[in-house]
Amino acid sequence: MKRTLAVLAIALLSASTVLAGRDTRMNVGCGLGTVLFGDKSDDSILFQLSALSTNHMTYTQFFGITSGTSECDRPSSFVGNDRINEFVVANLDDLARDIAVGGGESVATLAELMEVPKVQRGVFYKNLQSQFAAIFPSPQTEYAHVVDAILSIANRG
Amino acid sequence: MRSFEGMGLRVPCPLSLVLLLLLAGAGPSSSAEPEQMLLRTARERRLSDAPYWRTLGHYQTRWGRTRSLIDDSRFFLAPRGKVDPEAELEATILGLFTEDVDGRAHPRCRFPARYGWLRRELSLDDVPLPEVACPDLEASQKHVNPRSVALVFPSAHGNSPASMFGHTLLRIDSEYESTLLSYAVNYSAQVGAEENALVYATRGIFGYYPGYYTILPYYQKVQGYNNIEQRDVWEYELNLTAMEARQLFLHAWELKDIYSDYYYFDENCSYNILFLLEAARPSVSLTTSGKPWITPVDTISDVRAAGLVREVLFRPSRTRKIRQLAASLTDEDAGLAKKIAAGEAEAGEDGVPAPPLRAARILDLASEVVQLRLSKKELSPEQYRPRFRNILGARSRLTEGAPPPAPPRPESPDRGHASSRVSLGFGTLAGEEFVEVSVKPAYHELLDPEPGYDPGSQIDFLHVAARYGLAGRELRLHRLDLVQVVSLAPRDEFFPAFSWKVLTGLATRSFGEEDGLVYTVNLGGGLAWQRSWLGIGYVFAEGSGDVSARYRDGYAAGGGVSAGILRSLGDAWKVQLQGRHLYYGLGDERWESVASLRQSVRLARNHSVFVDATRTLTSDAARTEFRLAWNVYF
Repeated sequence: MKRTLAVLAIALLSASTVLAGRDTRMNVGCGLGTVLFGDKSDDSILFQLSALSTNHMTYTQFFGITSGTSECDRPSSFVGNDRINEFVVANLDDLARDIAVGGGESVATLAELMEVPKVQRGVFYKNLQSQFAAIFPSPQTEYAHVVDAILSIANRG
Repeated sequence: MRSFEGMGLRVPCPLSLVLLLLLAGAGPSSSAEPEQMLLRTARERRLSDAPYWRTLGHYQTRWGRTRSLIDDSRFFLAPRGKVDPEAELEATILGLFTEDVDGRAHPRCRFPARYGWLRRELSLDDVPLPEVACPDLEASQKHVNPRSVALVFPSAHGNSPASMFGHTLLRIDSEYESTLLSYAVNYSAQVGAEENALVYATRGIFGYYPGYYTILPYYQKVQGYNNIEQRDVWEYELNLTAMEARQLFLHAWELKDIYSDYYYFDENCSYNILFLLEAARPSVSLTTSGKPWITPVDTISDVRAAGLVREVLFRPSRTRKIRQLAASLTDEDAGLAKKIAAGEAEAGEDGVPAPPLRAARILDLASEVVQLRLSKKELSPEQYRPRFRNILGARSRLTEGAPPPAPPRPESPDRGHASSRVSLGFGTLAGEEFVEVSVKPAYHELLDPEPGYDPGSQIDFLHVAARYGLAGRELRLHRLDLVQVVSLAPRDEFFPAFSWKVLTGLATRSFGEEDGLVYTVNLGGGLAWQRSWLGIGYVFAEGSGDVSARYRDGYAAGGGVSAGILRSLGDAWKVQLQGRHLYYGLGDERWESVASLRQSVRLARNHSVFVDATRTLTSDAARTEFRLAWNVYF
């Protein structure tokens, strides 16, 4: 009987191979929803039980838009704005929310990168919020348009 | 010329001997002199024994043997550098004189922290070293722009007790105010893509994964931990000066893309980054601790004790934000938010049917839930984009609605009890008195003091208890839990989670007149709910198997149910009431019903008292046990 139990235990643990395949997939897009996912199977109970934490990176480093490997359109203001572009493309969704809400850490970071003086940031956030539809005209809007729109709003305002 | 011919050797006379010695003593040609002088100075001053050299090389002396914890041969310039700090020091000094190597591979550019230290110790500015430019190092240092450092701790995520151990990484801040623009220095195991859970655990424990130090944008870690893994992130801002931060960066540069075998218990993520803090501030000693295993929270306590922590900041996970928003809305509004997030209601042109401030919160909640669903892959990007964009579009028109308030901050993890526990107890079982001693190396059970831990999560290793019966005067092993994990995950409309538990080890069962040990495996799956008036209520379906020679068939296996309530009464008092019934239908037929009331009182950060009453009914007996135990955590 011990052997049966052992076989059962091994079968149970082996079942976790099905659940624990952790191939990292990256949603490589140019607009909203471009996030790095961990694999859903990381939630599997057996995986967790023995996973403990080696704290592996469940996602690979983001592609470098400045390394020329991206297939996305570049903003017309691409040159000299590496950090702005990198930040926007990697934080687009949180940035979109901050713009819609009128403030937040991501849009504050963008303002700092764009060297918007602190005293003007309140107005900057309000302007972006009122122009949300121009910055994100459609669900498929890509980051290049977002950067250009924000920069032109900033220059106008 | 006189000669000695002892032993058949012809030995030249003293005069020619002196000449030979003089010629030999003239030494190498003058162009190699600076290196030799430096080597000599280094040897005379025993620089390879200097604590800082040990830190930079991650050298440890255990049981008389010195070795570096780094396993990658690329970290060492000497072939035996891993076990010989002196050889490594000499190879580094000689390496500084290398010519015709470009700035990527030159030792001065690859090991800038070593170079900086040697420069001071050996006054290298006065030595004619070859000119080397280090373009990669300079560009990186300029980009990262180290000014200050924080120790970052992503804590547990819900329904994953194993993640309670957490992780630590470092964050190097620049002159930017926003820490999203900082860089993280992280050490973690590189795990293969197709790993089975058991293989993963075994390899992690026994050092079969390479662990890598990497430097990457901090916002990636925030996104990963907060939003993908649903973990709160604690940031312990350290009081390192800009110069110390720079020194930390230089040592991190030396370690970049270097691997070291990852050992889950002692050479893990949190231990290995301590070397970086020691490199930054040599006066602190963090890597020589007493315990043979290190938990991330232990390292945070050590860093605090070393006087390095300036301030503590908190980043709530998306789950926590969602719970906070949902709690601040009426059921109706929360339900509407859920529908909008599910695409069953539109947040279109006309917005949400509610006054602006309420509508803003409804949309805030809906947008977070939609993002959560995407990261859990419950939504495809194609479904996600229009939904998310439209919610935000409607939200942007509600200009009166300010950003939602941040969730309140729980107790800092390092303020919780220490990870190991020893306890002394006294009690009676069926009228017979006993004294009990138990030891538990790690980590936290449901009744251990809650502050700093995830309520409803338990993970314990090697809990051993022995009892001495006062009447019979015998000492016996009462239990040995190899592992016990419980995850009570309260369900609500946004998180329909399943609770689960696992226990395996040696337990005591009654066999008629006598008690005996059995090897047991117990698994349970169930549901839990949380209500303010209830605490956490839970129900489990369980499967259980016992193995013992005392059973006629050698084993007993079966299943049953358990239900209970876990309730905190204030900060210091926790109560658990539980009932359980198991019927063993396979092997030896028996049944067991257990009702228990357990209470714990927290006396201090590392002291608590348990008061337990348990009534057990089995096919052969009915017994009551009372137990009072004093726990000390260390």
